[in-house]
Amino acid sequence: MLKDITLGQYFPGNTVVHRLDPRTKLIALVVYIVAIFTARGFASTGLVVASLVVSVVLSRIRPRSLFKGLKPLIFIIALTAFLNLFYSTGRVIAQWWIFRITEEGLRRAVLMMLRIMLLVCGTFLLTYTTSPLQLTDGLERLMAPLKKLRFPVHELAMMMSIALRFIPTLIEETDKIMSAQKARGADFETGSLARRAKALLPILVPLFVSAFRRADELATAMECRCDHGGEGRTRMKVLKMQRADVLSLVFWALLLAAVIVLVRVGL
Amino acid sequence: MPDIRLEALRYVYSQGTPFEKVALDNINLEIPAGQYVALIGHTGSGKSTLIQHLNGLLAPREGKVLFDGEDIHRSKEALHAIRYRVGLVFQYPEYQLFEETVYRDIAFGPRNMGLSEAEVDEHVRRGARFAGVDESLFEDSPLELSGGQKRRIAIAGVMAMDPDVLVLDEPMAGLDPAGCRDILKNISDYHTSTGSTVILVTHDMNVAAREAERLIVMLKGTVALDGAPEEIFSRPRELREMGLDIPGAAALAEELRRRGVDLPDSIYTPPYLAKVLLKKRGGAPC
Repeated sequence: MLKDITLGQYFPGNTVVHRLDPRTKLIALVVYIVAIFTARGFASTGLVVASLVVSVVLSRIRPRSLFKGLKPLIFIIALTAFLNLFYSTGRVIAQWWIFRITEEGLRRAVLMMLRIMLLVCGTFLLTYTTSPLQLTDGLERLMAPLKKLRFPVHELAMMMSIALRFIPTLIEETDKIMSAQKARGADFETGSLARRAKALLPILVPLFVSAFRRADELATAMECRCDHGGEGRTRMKVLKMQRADVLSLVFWALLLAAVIVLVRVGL
Repeated sequence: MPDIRLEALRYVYSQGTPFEKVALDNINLEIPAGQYVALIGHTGSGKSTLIQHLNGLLAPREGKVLFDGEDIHRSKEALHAIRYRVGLVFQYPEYQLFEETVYRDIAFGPRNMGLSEAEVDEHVRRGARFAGVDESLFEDSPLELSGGQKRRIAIAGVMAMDPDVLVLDEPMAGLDPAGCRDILKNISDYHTSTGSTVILVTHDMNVAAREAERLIVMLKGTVALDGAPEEIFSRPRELREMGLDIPGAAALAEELRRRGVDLPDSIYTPPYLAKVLLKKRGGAPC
């Protein structure tokens, strides 16, 4: 049940998208997000949709897994569409009781829905095709200039990879504790909301205790291996930009330019 | 006291996904009331999956779990009730302690059973006594005690539900020899004084030889061997092929046999081996 959580899941593969440098993918994602929010009309948004489709096809990720990531967001998407649909001014095309749909509202509702979906799908595509390790590695390298400002880049990246690493462990642990408390007759499924919230206590307390214990053990283990932060540390796998990375970055730059042009002409 | 019967039990993890794994396949077992059973098998043989079927935490994909002749999955109420009659102690149970005081943690099970305060108190004290938890610890925080004490408190929490069947998944793991001995003695006391069934999952053949009256050996999700200890331990080759071992006394007897001492096959405990050897020497067994 808990194992169905897909947060930060990675689908191993060997496609062009998988092989891209994580830095390229991170930059591409930023450019992509900027493009999403620059796009105003259907033509420019359509262009962004097309770029996502191209990336998905190249990555060979099944569209179904992308849509699965959208599922928990259905409520937010629906609410956004609803608010935009009914709370816009403009030419009225349908009216019933206090509800009024305007042409402008309809347009904005569709565009907003598209935007959220594009945003989520793009982010998911990144985590689906990049292992958490590569991702933090790329992030650390991209943020390296901040080190000059005494920003703890390495520590931040380390924290991120540790957090990601422990998600499956903690889920497994939660499952175990739940079984153990169920064996003592705990009931998590029935009763009022307040009762069910209280029923979570026998899970949360042991979970926190063990999370702190693990953190403590990990810190000791790291110290035993002389971890002293990022200073002077070298890597076994050094990230290197390839031709595909350059091509990809050029593609995304052109896409953003095209979107800006389209918006300028009012499409 | 109830009997447990497993009929053609089959369980598959992640069914319908690429990660599908058959954990149990065609398990048929009958465990009569009051038996002390050791469940043996190396890691991944399906022991832990099997014991989670006994109190309905896992539901079989195929087959049935019968408790006193009745399917435990026949209704939600029946399933809930079975949790109190089959007490399950997980591996490293100390990690499930959560209450502010030892007393309240032990009382968690009995309170869930819906007993009155007086009955809860009685159950807690009895569970604590069986598990060797001193009453002077009742007001302490269970999270601040030593590992061995925590383990005993967790076991007390299950014993306090007064289960007819006590199932323990490697209760000795990670304890020092004295701690192991104490816990095994507590379990054995519970077994003899309440007449309840005990199912002990263990890797330790010496423990299995000393404590249990019946051994069930699991291999790749099936029951490979099932019988009395002397029967199982007289087949050292098969056990070793399964990645298991025989008790120390049986291994010593085997070595002596190899060197030409004539000894029976059924030796698996130190006292019995000593008796046979003394008799051979012509000395009086004392």
